[in-house]
Amino acid sequence: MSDLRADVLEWIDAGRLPPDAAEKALRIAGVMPSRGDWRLFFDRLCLWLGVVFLAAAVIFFFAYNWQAMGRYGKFAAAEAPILIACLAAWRFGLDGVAGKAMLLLISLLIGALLALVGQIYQTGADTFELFAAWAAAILPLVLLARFSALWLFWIALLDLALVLYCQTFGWFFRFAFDKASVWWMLFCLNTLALCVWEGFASAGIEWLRERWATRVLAVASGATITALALWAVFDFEKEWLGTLPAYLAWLAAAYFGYRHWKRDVFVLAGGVLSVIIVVTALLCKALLSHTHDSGSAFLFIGMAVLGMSTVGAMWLKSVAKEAA
Amino acid sequence: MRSMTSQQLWQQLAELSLAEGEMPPASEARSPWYIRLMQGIAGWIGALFLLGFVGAALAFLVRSPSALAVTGLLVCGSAFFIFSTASRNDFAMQFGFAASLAGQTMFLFGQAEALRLAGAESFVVAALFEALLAAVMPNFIHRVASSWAAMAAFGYAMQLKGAGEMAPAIAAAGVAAAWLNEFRWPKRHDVVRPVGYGLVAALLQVEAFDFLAYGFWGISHFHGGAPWRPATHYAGALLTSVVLLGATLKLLRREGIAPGSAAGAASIAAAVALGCLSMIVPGLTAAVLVLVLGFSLGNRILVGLGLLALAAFLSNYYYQLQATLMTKSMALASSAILLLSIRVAMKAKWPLRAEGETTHA
Repeated sequence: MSDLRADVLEWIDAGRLPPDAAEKALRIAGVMPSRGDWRLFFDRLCLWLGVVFLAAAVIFFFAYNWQAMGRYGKFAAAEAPILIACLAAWRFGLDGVAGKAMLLLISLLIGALLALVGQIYQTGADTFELFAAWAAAILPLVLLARFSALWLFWIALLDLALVLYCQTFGWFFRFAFDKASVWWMLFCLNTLALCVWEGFASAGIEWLRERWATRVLAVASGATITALALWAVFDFEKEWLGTLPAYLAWLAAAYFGYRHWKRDVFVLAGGVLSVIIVVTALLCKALLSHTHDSGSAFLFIGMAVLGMSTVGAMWLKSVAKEAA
Repeated sequence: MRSMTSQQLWQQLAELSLAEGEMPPASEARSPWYIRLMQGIAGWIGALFLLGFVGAALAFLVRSPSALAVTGLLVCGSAFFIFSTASRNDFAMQFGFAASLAGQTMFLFGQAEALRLAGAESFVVAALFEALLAAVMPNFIHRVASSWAAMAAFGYAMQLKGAGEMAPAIAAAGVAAAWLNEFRWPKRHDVVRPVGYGLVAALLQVEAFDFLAYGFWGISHFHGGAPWRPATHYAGALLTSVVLLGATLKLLRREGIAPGSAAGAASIAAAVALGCLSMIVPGLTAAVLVLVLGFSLGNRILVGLGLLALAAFLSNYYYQLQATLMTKSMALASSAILLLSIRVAMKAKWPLRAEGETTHA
């Protein structure tokens, strides 16, 4: 869709297509929606917004912590929508979009119910147990749904549980958890999820082939290893032995994976940005702390950043052109 | 969506006498949005180091606000010259972008210091300056960044004057004006499109004011305690609703649907209902507007930004102080029931054809 749109816009800009023909050309290309497309769009918009708003309404309601309402009333208020959504999912079936929306709704409402348990029995609302239990409780639904967004939501719950776990027990297991441990664990979790996802998608599971979901995981994986690499650069004595080889291995894997195996310029662009950031940090460490002429160092690093981004963009454009 | 290659599309256009001759080759300058985003972020990093250079090597400039402002203007002028004369040189364009960002920072800090401007006034000057740059700088990424900065600065000025809740409405009006007229001024495509993207980015930012105002700029809610704040809340909601209604009417006309027909009346009723809801659920209408505009133009980037705006709206809504969580819960539940009822009514009145028949992404 976007390529044909870009083609039409470029032809108009180049004067090869009259500007007043833009809409007609985009319709012929199937870029602009037909009436049937509009109908489907509004159907999906109402469904997904309705479901998310309903879940948010329940979560907001329990966050208000209405004192006048007894605990059994609150449990009934949390469980009744879950029951209704279960019945609706059974009625709609799990293959259609409405059934998947109901599974998403149930997954969100289970979180509200678990938070309510924490609120009433004072187990704490932000502890890792809440998110870990939430992830465990909805796993069967996630498996049933065959729905990318729900899988991503599940992985995000695991990420959150992991962060809260490290925050809660970090002081206790200080010998095991240094500051970077949580980042390492997040990196491992998201990278594992990305590899498994890509593996199953390549094995022929159609609904896993949506690129946006793997791109989200790739961003999570790349952002955490880049953060670790920055940490290693600025804490050179302690961290670099483990981190920089891991970072280089991640870059090499991303290059071969998304340049040669599955071409995805989005991930490659993220890799280029990551290299620019890490090399800039290395240059800062090397030049700014050992020179009296910081002006020249700033100018050199600035020009290096611009040079790297220019070469990177030229390479990415050439890869994108091959893909086209 | 029909599966079609560029060549097939060109042939169809030629058969309709809309195009002539061979299909032009794809431009060398074409660049997917994520490459441009990478360049934009790298440009910002480069600009920070150029500013570091100015601070360290040209410290005498920093000590003289007027000289700093004038030098900043000269740097921006040089960037304009680079964009105008070296548009095929990638490094020159990237350097021009970073230099201009550094120049803008120098000018804005210098003039604010020299004229002793502070608070809302300095943000208004920044907004005007950035708007001027968005209009004149012949570079896509620069125009996106400048129009974003212009609207965000204007939004912060409004926040400081207690009218922050009007800012998303003004950004939404700008977004609609740009994208509904994408093909109206063929000679100004190079301005309209980047400004449209910049305004959407600014809309996202001003929607999330409650986070950003605290975190980045230290603007507290006390500035929002002006007596006219409640009025601006409703004025903002009303303006966004009018914009959504206007966009709906324009899209109906484009699709050849009479407003009096069943589909037209239903669309108008939905826009009005959303407008009424926006009085108690601010932010929802603007996010839906971006989503609808993106879908109407087949623009996936806009659709993605519209979804982000919806997420920003929900997170922001949780923290807004004008209503209790109970009221917000009721408002969301009412919205959900309305939306799901509309879906049921649509299914009854206009049943969907078989799944897959209408497969527009």
